[in-house]
Amino acid sequence: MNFTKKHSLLACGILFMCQLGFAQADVVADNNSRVNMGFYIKSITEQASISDIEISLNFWVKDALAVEAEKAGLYISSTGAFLYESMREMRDDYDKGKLDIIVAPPLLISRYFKRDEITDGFSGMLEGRQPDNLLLVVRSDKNINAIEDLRGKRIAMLEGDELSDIYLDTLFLRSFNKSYKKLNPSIQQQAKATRIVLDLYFDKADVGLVYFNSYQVMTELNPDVKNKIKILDSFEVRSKNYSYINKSYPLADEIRRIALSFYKSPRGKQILDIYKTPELDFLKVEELDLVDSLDREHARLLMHAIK
Amino acid sequence: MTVIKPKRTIFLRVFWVFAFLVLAITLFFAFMVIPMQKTALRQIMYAQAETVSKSIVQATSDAIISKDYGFIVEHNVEVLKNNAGIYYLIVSPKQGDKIFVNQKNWHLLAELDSNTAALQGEKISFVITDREQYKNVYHFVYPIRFSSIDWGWLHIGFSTADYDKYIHDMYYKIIYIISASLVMILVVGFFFARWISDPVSTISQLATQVAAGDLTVRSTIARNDEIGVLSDSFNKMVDSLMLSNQALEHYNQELEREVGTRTRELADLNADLDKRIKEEVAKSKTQEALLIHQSRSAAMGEMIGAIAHQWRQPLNALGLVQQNLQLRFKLGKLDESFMVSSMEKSDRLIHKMSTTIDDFRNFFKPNKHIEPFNAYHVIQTTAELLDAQLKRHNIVLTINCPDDLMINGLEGEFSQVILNLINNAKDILLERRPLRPAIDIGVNKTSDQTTRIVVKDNAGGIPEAIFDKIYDPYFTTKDQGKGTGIGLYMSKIIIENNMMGSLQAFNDADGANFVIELQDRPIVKTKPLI
Repeated sequence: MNFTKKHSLLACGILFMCQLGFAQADVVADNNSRVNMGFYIKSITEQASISDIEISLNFWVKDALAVEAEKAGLYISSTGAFLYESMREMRDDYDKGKLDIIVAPPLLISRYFKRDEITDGFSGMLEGRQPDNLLLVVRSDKNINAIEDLRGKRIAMLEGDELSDIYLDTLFLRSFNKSYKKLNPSIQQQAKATRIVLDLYFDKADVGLVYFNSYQVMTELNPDVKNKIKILDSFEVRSKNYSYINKSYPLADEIRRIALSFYKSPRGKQILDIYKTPELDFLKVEELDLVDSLDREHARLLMHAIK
Repeated sequence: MTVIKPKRTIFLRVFWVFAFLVLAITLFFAFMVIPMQKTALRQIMYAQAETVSKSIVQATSDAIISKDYGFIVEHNVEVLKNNAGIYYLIVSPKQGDKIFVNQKNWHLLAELDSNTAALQGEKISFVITDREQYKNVYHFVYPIRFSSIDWGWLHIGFSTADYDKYIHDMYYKIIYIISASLVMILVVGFFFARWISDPVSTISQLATQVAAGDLTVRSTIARNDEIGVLSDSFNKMVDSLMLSNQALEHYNQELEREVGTRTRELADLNADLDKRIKEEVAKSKTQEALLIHQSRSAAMGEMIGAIAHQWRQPLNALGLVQQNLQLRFKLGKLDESFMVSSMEKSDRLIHKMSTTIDDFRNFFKPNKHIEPFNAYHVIQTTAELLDAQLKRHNIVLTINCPDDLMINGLEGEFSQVILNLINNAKDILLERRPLRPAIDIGVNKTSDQTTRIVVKDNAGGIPEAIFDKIYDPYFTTKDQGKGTGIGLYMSKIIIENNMMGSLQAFNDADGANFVIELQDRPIVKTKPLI
């Protein structure tokens, strides 16, 4: 077996575990030979169904990772994937040395982890290496041409997506000095971004916050979506979830290299397809700066907002 | 002994009958199963379509009622994603846009096409059709009804690929079954046909050997069925045949002895018979020669009569010349000129008489050869022999013959035949006395090689009763002492045996016609008849 294939299989396990929140058996092992990952569950359920995740976990990753890593010369004594509903818990386990890789939205990573605690990692990406920007979309027939026109409109946004929340809030605070929650009585929380696009299309909402990938998928499914929905504003972000590696993890370079060549193997590609990403991309810690800046601006504006 | 191998007809018949039956039964059941399977598959498709439709309607019922089309689209996109066997879905409310979802995209339709709309009714309907890029779509239409209110219809386009695949698989299976049947037919049929035909073939072969005379053969087939019985019966039959054959051989030997004796006797008899035949032939030849001799004698007799007639007139004339001479001498008027004239006249008469003698002598002159002769001359000369007699009885003889017509043959014998025929005609004319008795002799060439001579009279013809007998020897209709009955017999012998011609007779309105047909013959010497 050549180097690429062996490493891609290992990366398969890594990616998978990056996306999962399944708690494996309690593993107490030397972190020189383990791969433990922590996942923020609210940010991954939209990307893959639980059944797909289960299949890929049980079949592709768990066994394959240990075997292929060993073939690659990496002795992996244990693998672990931990699911967190709160970033606080993830942070606690990280502090305990339980996690080697963390997977969560960039805003939350920025809030809960200092830059010197983590090292460069990887993220999913779209076709053509496009960033999966956060889009502010509106119905074309509602005469909405600026943020100022959003007042009183029906808003649809992703449930639990804090980046959408602070992004929209920041825009409202900039324009109205008031939170959108106060100016817009109708705010719908949807579990899937595609549903937000559909709600706009069928005139169930006037304004929506969706990631570029979801919007693109919906326009491909129905080109008429572009006629009825237009992009009013966007916030640049690489992906909905970022993966960073514990700075003290000794296999960081190996794992990152395997992850980045993961798309080259057929099996790795198959796994990536489940998570709707063609390949993984190198992710610098500094890329958190943009969301960190937004978060700080939001906090600042909020402090001066009209109560 | 040569073993004769019979044709394996029974084997082939049994084999083909077996093959036909097995194949026919296999095909019959195979083709019975096909429509049943198709029906069953369609029922399965119907049930499946109904289940899917119910499931979708149930899952989207709230969205349908609340007109949450986003959910409807989202759900149906998900349904299609998880069901590759569904080509498309159409949610068709009674009022408003229709939602069309397929595996790649979705869009709104203002109206359904007429064919699709026609399927929308109160009851479930379906049709297998082609729709846009989809071929052989099982288009199922399910009415959506809530609390007895008709909301609209759900159209689902199912792929028939599985159905087609199953049908194709079924066809392949049938082909496999038929192929297996063919193999079975070949193998089992071969052994079955051999099991049936081998003993029959063996007995047939033995029977053929028995038929060829080998009675030492016996059937060794030992079975407890009809074939076994046949085998025993065959052996008994051969035993019986052997005994019969021995008896026959015995009879045959006796018969051969008897035949030998009879054959010897027959050989002796044959030898005696040959001797007798030779004697009879010799007798016959002698008799024939005698007949000819008699004929010639009779002819000579007649000729002598004729000479007498011929000579009568010149003799009288000669007498008259002598009386005139005597009278002139007594009167003293015998001068030189009268003397010379009388002597010349006497010489002429004597010469004529001499010529007559020569003619008759020539007629009977033997050692004639086949050589060309002038037909007219011969007939004329022969007729002249009888001229005196004919004139005496006022019989007119006419000869129609080309002057230069030549015949290759026996001149003397030909003239004898002509003489016989003229004589016969003369005799019958004298007997029947027609008003103007006449004999016509016509000669002509019917071809390059054939000469036809017809001697015809006007005496009324030959009676039918004696037509078959006129050539028999010694048969005559003339009075006792006037005819010998060998004239026509000899004429036929001469014409047909010596001149290789034919002599036939027929009657016409006037009388009898005797027809001689002669073929030209090469000139050779032949022995005289007598």
